[in-house]
Amino acid sequence: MDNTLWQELVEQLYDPIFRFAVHMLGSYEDAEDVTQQSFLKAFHSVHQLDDPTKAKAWLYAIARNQCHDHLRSLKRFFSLRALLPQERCIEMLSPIGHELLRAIGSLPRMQREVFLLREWHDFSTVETAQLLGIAEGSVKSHLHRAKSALRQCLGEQNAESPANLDEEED
Amino acid sequence: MKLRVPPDSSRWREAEKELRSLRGPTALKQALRRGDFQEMGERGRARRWWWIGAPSVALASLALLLLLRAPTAPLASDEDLILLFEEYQDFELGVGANDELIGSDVLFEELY
Repeated sequence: MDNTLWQELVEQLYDPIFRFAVHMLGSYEDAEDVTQQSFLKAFHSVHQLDDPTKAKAWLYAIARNQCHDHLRSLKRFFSLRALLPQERCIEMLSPIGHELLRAIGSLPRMQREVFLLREWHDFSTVETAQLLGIAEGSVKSHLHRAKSALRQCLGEQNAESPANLDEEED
Repeated sequence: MKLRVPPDSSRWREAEKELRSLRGPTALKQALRRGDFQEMGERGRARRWWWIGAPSVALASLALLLLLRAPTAPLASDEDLILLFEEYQDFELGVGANDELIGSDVLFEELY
């Protein structure tokens, strides 16, 4: 692969992929591992990328698979890591940031992914549907359920919630 | 799940902003840009050691220490038992496991 193109890919997508992994896994350390693995996989299979304009969706799909593999491995094996406090995440986030991350982590997997991709990672409904392999209507219903669950979770019947929860879905 | 922190719009918005502006470690980004996967492998191994290896070794050591210590730690010293016996000597009779009356010498045996 052209070195400049690779550097550009890292430059543009490193932080978003890292953020996506933190949002999916709730752990800074695990996100670091998953980000590294995702880019490593991308580096080795970049020849599969026909259209460079689809690099973002392609890399997110790899990162999503890596997150799933990581979560499966945590379930399969007894992990001491899962019992330890996420020190570096605690350092980086305020307590309320943690609470919000936990609330997102408590959503069912598909709702969580749809919410993250649509609301926090700037994917359109069509792109989200393609990435997750579901119908556009399902994206909308998952997003609606995710927002309702988060509203309930944040206990904000009367109070305001984060901006994205107040917006109307498309 | 109920959140412990009461919702407050400005704080929630701040939390959202915080989560949406997280950045990965610069060293990893630089290694990725260079395509230096050997360095990344070493970073990964080091991280796994500190987060999985080190606590595992610490827990195993603690378990071993407890295991080694358990048989050597007496439940009660001889001196304690003698004091206990002296206390019970005031009573001529005690009650055994099957509600039978027993003498203090039998009681001492049971205690010992």
